Amino acid sequence: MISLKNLPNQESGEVTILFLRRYWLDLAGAFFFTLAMVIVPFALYGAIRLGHLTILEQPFWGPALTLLLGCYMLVVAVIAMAQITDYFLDIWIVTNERVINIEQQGLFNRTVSELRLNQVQDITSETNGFLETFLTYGNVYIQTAGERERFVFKDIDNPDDVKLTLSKLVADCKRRRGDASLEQEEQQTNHAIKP
Amino acid sequence: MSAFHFPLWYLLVPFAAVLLATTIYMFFNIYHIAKFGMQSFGTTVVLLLYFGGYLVVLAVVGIMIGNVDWHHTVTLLEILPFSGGSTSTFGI
Repeated sequence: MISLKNLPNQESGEVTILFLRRYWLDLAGAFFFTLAMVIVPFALYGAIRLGHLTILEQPFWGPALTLLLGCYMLVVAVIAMAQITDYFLDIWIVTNERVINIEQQGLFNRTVSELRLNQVQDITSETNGFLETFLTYGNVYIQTAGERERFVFKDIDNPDDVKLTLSKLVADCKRRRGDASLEQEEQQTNHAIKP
Repeated sequence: MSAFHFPLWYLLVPFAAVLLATTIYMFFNIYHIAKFGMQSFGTTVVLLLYFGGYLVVLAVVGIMIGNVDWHHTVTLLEILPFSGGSTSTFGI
């Protein structure tokens, strides 16, 4: 397991400031989806009983439908677990030195990337739509001067507060370590000028 | 037509394949959370919920299946819905 007190490649004096996950609404959505999937066979069973259909008493179809229901329940359980795993393993850790992005894609794909705070050039928070505004969750985009794609904290709680904290941390880090985003930008400009 | 008959337990073979696949998938999920999850009380709770939830589903499915007489033999005629089969073997 990953410990916040013992992060990969942790430097001395590096402290975890923020530990972020997607907003709980994602997990609630998965929960209600699973609940709906569980209700479907019981609703069908009720409809069959109400319609006085004899299919459940048939010597072949009774057991066959029992097994089908069993398979369905197992698959629903697995889908629910996959959704929980996906939610649980998508995390963002912000320390006073860097941002670590750990993302689970499916069951076998994991991406772990990190970004030093003094490379950050721009931080944008975004809240779209009624629900995100009302429940105060949204995205935070972290842009560097490099060619790498920007970091996205997707569907996190209080994106504006996170942006504010990140901005302070970036400013602190740049004071201590120097602004690496300017160096990156210079390198890119030089690279572009050279034939 | 009625000469073609087979025991009901044949149906358990594809079911066993589904059971095996879902169990393997579930263990991979647990492995991923145990290996890559954060070291916290929440992770332990989620792992326990995984085990508990899956065991409950297995128990319910087991009870449903346990109530069926799998040695019963069916004929092709009985497979056709509404053909007038009389024996009640459904488990729930």
